[in-house]
Amino acid sequence: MKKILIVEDNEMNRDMLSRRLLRKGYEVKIAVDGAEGLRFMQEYQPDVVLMDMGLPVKDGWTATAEAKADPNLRSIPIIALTAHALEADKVRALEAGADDFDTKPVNLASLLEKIEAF
Amino acid sequence: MINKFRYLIFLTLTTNSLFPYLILLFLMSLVISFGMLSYYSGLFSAEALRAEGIDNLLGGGFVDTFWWSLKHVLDPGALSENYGAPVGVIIFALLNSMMGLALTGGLIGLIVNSIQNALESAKQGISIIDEEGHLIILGWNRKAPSLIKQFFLLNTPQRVVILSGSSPQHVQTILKAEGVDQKNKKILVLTGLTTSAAVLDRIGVSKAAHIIILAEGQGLKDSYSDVNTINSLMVIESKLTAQTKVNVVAEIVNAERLGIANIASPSPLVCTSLLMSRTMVQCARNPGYARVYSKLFSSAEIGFELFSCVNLEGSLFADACPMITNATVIGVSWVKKLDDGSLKRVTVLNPEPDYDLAKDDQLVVINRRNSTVRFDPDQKVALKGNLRQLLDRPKISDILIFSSSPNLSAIINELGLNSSSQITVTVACRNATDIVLSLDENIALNGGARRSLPESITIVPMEFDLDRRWSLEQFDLSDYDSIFVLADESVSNVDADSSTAMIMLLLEDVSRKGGVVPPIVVELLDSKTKDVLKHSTIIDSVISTEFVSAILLQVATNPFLESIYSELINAGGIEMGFRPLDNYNMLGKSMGYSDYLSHAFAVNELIIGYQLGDGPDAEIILNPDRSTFPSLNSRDRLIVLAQQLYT
Repeated sequence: MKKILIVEDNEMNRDMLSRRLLRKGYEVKIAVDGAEGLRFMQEYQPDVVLMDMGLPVKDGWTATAEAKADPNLRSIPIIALTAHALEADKVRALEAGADDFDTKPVNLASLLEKIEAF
Repeated sequence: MINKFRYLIFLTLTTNSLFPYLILLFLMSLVISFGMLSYYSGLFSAEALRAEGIDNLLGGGFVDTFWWSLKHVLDPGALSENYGAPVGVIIFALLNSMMGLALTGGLIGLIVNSIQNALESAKQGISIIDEEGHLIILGWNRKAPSLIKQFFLLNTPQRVVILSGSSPQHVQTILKAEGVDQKNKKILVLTGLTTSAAVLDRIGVSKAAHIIILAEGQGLKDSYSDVNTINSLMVIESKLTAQTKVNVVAEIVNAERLGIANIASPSPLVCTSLLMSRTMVQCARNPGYARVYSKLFSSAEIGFELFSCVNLEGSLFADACPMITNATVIGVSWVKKLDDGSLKRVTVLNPEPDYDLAKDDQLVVINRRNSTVRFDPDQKVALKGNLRQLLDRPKISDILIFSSSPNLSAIINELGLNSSSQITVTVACRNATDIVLSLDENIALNGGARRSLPESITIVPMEFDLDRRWSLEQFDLSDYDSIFVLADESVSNVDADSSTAMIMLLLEDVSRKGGVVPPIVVELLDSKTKDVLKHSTIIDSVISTEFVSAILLQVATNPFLESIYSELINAGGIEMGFRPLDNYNMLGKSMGYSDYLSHAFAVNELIIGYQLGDGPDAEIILNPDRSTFPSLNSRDRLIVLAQQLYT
């Protein structure tokens, strides 16, 4: 099963998402901000990263851009998750280097499709 | 030698409470022995035996002599009964009675003193409390009376023990002034150090059901209040064992100290400055929020419960919600095993409708207090799939804040966290320029880390001093999306709530003259000031200490609520929202509760109640009765839990 790194600062959101993915059989690791997310990407080498965009310390856009600029991390697919429902936010996430985009609250079936696509 | 003897007496007198009685007994023995010398002056002669008070019933020996002497020492009236006895006997009787008078006086004095000391100790509250399952309030501040009132609304038989540095008389006077009925309620008011292990033992911390630690002192201005609270937390923590089931909650005033407090104890913490600032910002974003929040956490009306999902395993969350027929489901909860092997209860509000419930899940419901949750598996809601709605989210970009409250920096920071676009905050107070310059140094985040103000915030200082000018002419109030009036304790000779009331009068004046006044969020320190402002037509939300006490009490009686209340006011995550019916394209259609529920699920929202009408007097109904759910109109709003979207 795929190893998934969830980078999310909101405790309830990460508890729920990790529980749902664990129950689907995924291996899940959690980071609470962008800087920790980058560190865990190096250490854990996940198959997919679910990256919230509005993060403390280092936001998701910056963390995504830095990951995509790092030769060791650039191949790891990043799915941007955001509560910003506007089209501009999707464009911004994709411009930062995210491989796909989804809005919160997540639709699990749709998210799983995106995860499995990588 | 004499000095040494004196010191020995002093030492014994001060360290041994029995010593004065022993000395008295010794002196009494001496006097009685002295009186017994009267035997040699003809105590039992024929002349003496004619006197009423002299008898030789036991042969006129040692016992009769002792009895005669003892009688004179203890009873001065016995002297008169020697009338007719020889002069020598009368002289002994006189001396004996006089010395006895002095000794009896001393004995009575000692006894009275001991009783007085015991009474004084009780008055001062230095007694040992032999209670179990009681509520302990450590510390005293203006939230305490409201907290106690709310606790009594729960109608529990538990005793309330208040331990603080304030004198019991002071506390009792305030309780009386605040209308707390002390006669029929079980309140024990004690004085003592809330950080002393011995004192905490004395009030039975390990046997209590709930402990609430209030920040004693002058709030944010007093850095020692949090230090004492943290110290008390540590002492209490050391008293608790794995077997003791005491719910402890502490009030931390300054967010900067939350990190240390979390290290001191795993108990839930309520940070007043964060709670107030976050709630005020949420009130500005969603007018009416404070009233919903107060109602949700008011101790008397609504209770939070966990409902087991054993029979619901595999059901979708949206399918399970309507099956609870008399309570409103607001989330799910389970116990998670952490990496270190410890267990942690996790609560998630408004999960996705397609979340499939597990055997170990529990539904989090709000229900009327003392009402049993009813379950009917036949109740269903027709789900409409997953729709995306683009809501007209509250947008606040220009804010006017009156006063230089210590909460100012926290509020500005919170405004920044709740907005993704540029915002301008005008700070109107005395010495506004200096205060704005110092703001950047005062931002502290939850957990204690310091940071600068977000770059998206522009702060404009505006000199405003009620001492100099009673006017708002310099402000064009129509420029602002929202106004905050914060409790300002910076002027020592003016009560913060009085300043707030003055500013409200000025704003009311602008409104009466036809000026545009944006929604106003007001912070009050005394809940009674609410009554003074209740006729104001322009106030949108009022937050007072009552609100904080309600949270403290709820978390103390039900610790898992900590995550719920903080999630509801945090930036991001789940928030409470007010939705007009046309939001779901439901306006003008005949709808029942299940229709509303189904439309809300389609946009990942969860209905928890409704608001009838608009404005400050609009009625708020939470956990509505399904059978009497009214037909809502365009002025009404549904109250929902939803994922917060940034503006």
